[in-house]
Amino acid sequence: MSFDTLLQAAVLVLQFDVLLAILGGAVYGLFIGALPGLTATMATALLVPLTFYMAPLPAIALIVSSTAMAITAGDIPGALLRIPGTPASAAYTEESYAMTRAGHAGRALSIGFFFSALGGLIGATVLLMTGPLLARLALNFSSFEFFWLALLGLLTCALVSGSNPVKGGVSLAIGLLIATVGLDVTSGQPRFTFGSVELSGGVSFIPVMIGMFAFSEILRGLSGIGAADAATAATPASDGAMRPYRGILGLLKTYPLSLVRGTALGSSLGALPGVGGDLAAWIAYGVSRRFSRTPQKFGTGHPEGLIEATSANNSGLSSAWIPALVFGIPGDAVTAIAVGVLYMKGVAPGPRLFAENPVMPTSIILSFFVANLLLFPLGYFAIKAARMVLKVPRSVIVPMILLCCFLGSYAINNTLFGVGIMLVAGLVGYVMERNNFPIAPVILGLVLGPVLERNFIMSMQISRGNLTGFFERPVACGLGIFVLIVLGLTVWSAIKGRRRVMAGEPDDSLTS
Amino acid sequence: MRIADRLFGPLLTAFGLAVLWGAAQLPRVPGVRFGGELMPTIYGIALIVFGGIIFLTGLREGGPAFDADEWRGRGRAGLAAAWSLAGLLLGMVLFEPLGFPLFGLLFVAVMMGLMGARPLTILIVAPVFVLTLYLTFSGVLRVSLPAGPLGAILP
Amino acid sequence: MLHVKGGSLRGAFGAAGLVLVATTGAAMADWPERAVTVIVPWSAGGGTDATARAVAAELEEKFGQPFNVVNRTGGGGLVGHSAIANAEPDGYTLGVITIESTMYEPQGLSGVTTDDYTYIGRFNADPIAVNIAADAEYDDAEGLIEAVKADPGGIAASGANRGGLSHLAWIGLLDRLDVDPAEANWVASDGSAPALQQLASGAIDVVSTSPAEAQSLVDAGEAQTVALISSERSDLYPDLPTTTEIFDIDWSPLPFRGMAGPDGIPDEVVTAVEGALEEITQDQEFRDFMASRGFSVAYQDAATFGETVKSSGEGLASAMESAGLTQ
Repeated sequence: MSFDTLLQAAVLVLQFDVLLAILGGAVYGLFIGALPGLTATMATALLVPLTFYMAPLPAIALIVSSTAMAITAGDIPGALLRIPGTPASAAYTEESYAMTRAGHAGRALSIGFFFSALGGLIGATVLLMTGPLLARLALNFSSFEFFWLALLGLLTCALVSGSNPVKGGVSLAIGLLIATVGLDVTSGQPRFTFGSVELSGGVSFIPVMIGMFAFSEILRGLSGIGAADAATAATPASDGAMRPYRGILGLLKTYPLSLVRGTALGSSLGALPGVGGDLAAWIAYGVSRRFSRTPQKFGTGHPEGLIEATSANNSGLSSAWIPALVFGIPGDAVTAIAVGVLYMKGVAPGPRLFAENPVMPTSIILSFFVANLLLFPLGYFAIKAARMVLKVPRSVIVPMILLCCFLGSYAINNTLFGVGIMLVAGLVGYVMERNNFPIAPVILGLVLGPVLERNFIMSMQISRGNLTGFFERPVACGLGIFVLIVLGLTVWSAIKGRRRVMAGEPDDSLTS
Repeated sequence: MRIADRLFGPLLTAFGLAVLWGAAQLPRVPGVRFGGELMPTIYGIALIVFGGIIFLTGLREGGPAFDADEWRGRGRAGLAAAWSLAGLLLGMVLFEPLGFPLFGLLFVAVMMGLMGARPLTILIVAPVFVLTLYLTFSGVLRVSLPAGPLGAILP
Repeated sequence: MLHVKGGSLRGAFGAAGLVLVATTGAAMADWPERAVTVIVPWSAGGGTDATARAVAAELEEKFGQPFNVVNRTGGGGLVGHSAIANAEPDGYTLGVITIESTMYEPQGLSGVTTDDYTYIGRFNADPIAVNIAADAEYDDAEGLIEAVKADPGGIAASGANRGGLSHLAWIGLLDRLDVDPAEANWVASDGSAPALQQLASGAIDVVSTSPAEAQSLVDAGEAQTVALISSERSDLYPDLPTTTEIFDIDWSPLPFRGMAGPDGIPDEVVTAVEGALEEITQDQEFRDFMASRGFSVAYQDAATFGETVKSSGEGLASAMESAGLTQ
């Protein structure tokens, strides 16, 4: 990328209409993302008709900034109300909510916005330098490699499931099983749908997430255990603790490695179409815990994993555009919509775009940059506003959250079926948590289940049922050996932990 | 609602067996070695094994096999929890005929009342909140929500 | 219907009463009196969604009421298609249907048959193409088919789930070229995007999907489009030969996109939307938009569209039968 291109792109992005589009998109994204149950995909889809009337760059800039903002803002209901905004943010929702319950809501939100923005900025910079190269590398990944990556993602389950890995395994298996409901791609026939047309569309994770995290938490709060919690919990944050970005630079100094590792993971995994975005935050959180000097603090409102996962989340966002821009292979619904808008504006994605008109993709990445810069001030206001949410008495806010849960589950596919899923998931989640089964692995299984299965079955079809196919391609072989080693270590440490429990050493999962 | 591990384990094992049975019923595709039955089978086996482990470790655990102590003597909070479930279930039936604004108002007002909000608060907050939500969704976000009888006066 | 904006509360409630009477009276002359929902059975961002939103935007302009696009996804389009078929036939829920709507019944999937719709009009139809890797040992359709004949299981093809249109187009072609479809190696995927990724990574050999979707990869020198599975050349890709020209066979599965409603919607609605659709498909702005995405504009009126749907349904059902996909 020449300096000249960068300069031209900068001039384009700094036009009034483009900046206005970025700001508008950011405010809109912030609003949608902060509403519990509304997703970035929805935010983007709703913008499409508007882009009909806009010039190409403002149109794309609008989508870019609203997506970045919606995904980051999705962490607000996650931290305050335990309603994760995206499947990726489910990886660290427990952590940030624990922080809020300890009276540090301001800190949780500050970390979310600050490190998302920082991760996004670094991710965009990496992209500016390595975009097309990264895309070419990502294109070498076939179902064999994707399978190993999905398996690696599942192994983080052991790291997010707390003190009892067996119960975590049960949660994961339940999530994976929910993911098998629906039309089976291999046979084209319904699977576990019990004759229901609605179920043949599968169980989408948004209502499950809302139910398992938010609804079950409300039930818990109304029960005796919740009441006891409320009595012992720290008093709501004082105004000082709610001051946005307070002490954030100290955290940056304490955990620089988390930021670097998270961003690196996010940027590289994010470039893998269809898999990377959701996976990056989970793996980052797992890696952070694995290599932390204080892994026992994870899950209690500890900033380390939060920093790593949230920066991975946003740095992966910009990378996800690379396969879409360079090869027209969109990794998720958001980039698919964006590719559509690009076509509509006469900008055909493809390598020719980078060769013949490098200013355009560069401007798109620069829009990302500007949008992420905007995260700092907008986050400031969002955190200020969030303080009001915490001041509302429970008797007023809980009914409101419940109605939002209802609406969010309805709006995902415009059907009451989603509401039913949410209610069932809420009850199941409540019973599971009451009996010390962690929730996060359910979401992990739900998200990665289809990826794991489809890539395994596809690979087996390609190698005609020969399992050695997973080690024949060089990258797949390397990944496979790595994953098997991690798997071995995970199982071994789980067994070791269990022996210790059997020997009668204290284990809070059994005594609490 | 607590279920002792020595009971929960066998429940999971039974669930795993049911999954195995369900997977065996799935149609096979000729010429495909691994089909849609493979993954459910693996997950089912995992549940059976995990259920066994949980049962064995749970044997050393004392206490009742089942209790719901956290709901004992919760009074209005218990009623509120029941309404959160029943009200939303009712909503699935009344959503179309009643429309979102009226159902939302009913649900939020009753819930607030059960949770001990003051009548004046309910009277002001519930309608404003529900109406804002409705107008945001149907107006700004263009997610069409049933308007019900109020459709005539709402945009 | 009366529209009351502001005004006294009593007046508003009075109006509510009037409305209840008015809707039961079902005076359709003024359709649409309120927002119309357009169900799209495929996810936001895909080709069907993009075209549906463009059509909805134009309809909104023509009728002066919102046409809200709603994505009801899942089950290979089954969920959305059955939602359209089972909607209230009052003309306020319409949908965009695709060729998959004809394929559920022969596959034994309950929920939708071709008799469950009122057909309004088709606006798009684009054939499927055969795409191969750029570095394949052959570089045209003849070479590919020779390789398939030499080792039917050795050539892995993908593009959709088993029984999806992409699959049927491919095995229908093989069937007519005397290759046993049961021996062909179909890699079931979740749509064309993952299949194209597989093709580029060198894991599979063929992707059958629309030429538009493969265009970027072709431009990148990672893939090549060798033939349209069709009997007619496409205006948008005039240089692309058809399988009919190359192999002298008759096989032309033509995916379509068109407007439809549940069975029994009022005739006034059908006529109004049909007319509007005809105008939209002649509108230069709309045509430019379609061309920019690589979609052709192919209008058919309600009656012709209905016949097209039924006849392509029959053709696909027989293809499924020969491949052993029927239940």
